[in-house]
Amino acid sequence: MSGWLSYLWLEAKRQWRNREILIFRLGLPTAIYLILNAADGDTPSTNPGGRMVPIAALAAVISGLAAGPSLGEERANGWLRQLRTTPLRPSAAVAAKIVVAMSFALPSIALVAAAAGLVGDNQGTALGWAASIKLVGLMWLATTPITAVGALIGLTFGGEAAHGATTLAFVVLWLGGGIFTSPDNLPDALAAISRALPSWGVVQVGESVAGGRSLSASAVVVLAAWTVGAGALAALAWRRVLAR
Amino acid sequence: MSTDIDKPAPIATFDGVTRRYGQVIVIDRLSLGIQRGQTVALLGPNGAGKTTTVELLLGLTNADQGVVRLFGGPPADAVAAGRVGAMLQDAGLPQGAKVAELIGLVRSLYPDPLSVAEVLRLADLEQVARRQVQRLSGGQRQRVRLALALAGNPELLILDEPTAALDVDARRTFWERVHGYVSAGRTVLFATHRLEEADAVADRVVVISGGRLLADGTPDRVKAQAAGRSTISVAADGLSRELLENLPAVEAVQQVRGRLTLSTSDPDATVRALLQQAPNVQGLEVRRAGMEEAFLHLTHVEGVPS
Repeated sequence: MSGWLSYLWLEAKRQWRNREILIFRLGLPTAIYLILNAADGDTPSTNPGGRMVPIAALAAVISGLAAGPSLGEERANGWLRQLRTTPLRPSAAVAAKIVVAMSFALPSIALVAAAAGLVGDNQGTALGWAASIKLVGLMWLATTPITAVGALIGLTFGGEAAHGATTLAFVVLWLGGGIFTSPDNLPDALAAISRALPSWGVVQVGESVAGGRSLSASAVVVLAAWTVGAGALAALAWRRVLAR
Repeated sequence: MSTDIDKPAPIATFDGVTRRYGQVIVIDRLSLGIQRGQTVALLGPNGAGKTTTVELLLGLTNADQGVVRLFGGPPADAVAAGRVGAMLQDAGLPQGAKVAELIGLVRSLYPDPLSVAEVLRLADLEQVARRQVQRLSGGQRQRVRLALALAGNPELLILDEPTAALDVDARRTFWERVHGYVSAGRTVLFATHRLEEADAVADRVVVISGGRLLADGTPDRVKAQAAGRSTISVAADGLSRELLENLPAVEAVQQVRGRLTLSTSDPDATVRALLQQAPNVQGLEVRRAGMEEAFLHLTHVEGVPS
């Protein structure tokens, strides 16, 4: 356990001091939010979470998928093999990637919410402190299945391919997963797919908190299914990596 | 795998180990024991199965047949217990980590590690301890990988082609550092394709080629086996293979495109007989065997026909 904590600590330090990572994972979603918010100020709102919730979900996707390229690279360059010659449990490396990805998702979501609180979301109603904290906390927990998808990608594809697969997953979740547009605006077949994606679950969780509703059961089911499904596939991929 | 009373039990054993990748047999019925305190060179040409041997010993890959044991149990258990330190060939380092941090991490994983200061000194990394690994030179990276293998103060140190990327000077100082570490019953196994390196560093040389054990002994003994060999090559036109095979001192004959190449332990006798029996022979070449040819000879003489 203490070995895992030292590994986690080093993993966190080396990602948190990388300026490009900070800009991309923490700065980019907030910047996108502020730009969109300023760009079309008076579109009437239909969603309780306004523009803030979808962009916070985008932040969750960006940080959540981050374990993918990182694992893929370290599998390709042999660092994970090197770790396997030490007493560190091999799965500790994967677990650390997921925890560090989650450590970026929380502030990334919170920054978007804070920006909305500061400048005023032009589509949604202003939330109080308690609702904001609840919204950030629950959207953060809802990021878990996305980190599982990231780990699955990193354990399935090596090196450059992991980058490509992560980008593809990002585009699918962003365009098709309820962030770019609500499934309500899509044709039926696409809407059904959209409502089965984990990013839609994250958006739903945010909107129910913003709208003062209880969590939608279908969102919770989708998020749980993705956590279990991607997690199990990642575990299988990991066993294949170990058996090489 | 000796049962002699005066010989201590080996800490690492291969017992009839075979490893295949698809149809290719990479390790072929390898049996081998390594005693505590030895510095063993695993010597062989590229593709001989050295890296697979190292991976089997570390539990990174499993035998298809036979048993590999390390400190009396499965390799993975010895690794988990922190009894082994390894430097893999071309293993990458995680970007953004600092040298001293990586050493600190590996130390924290082992029960009885060296101090960070000692590891930095042994691997000559004091000047770059605070530097992130992506800003190191190739030689410095290599020393970091050595440092990570040493940091846990392991009983067995395994190095896979540790000096492949180094020049002559750097190679010598690398081995001086390893020598500084090896004492007090520590054991080292290193893979190399350089005979001179095995000769200079090891007190036992194990030669493998094609996944088979070809020779095993002191450097002097293995060198003697490799020395004195020559290859003779002639144009194949009108010559029969049988004629060459029956010449005195010939050990193996190979035909490559238009030429026949034979290895011999007594080139003078072979050439004399050849010219007598085939006076019109064309394109005669005689060369002292390098290590590869010496291995070729060993393959033919000691290899088990399959």
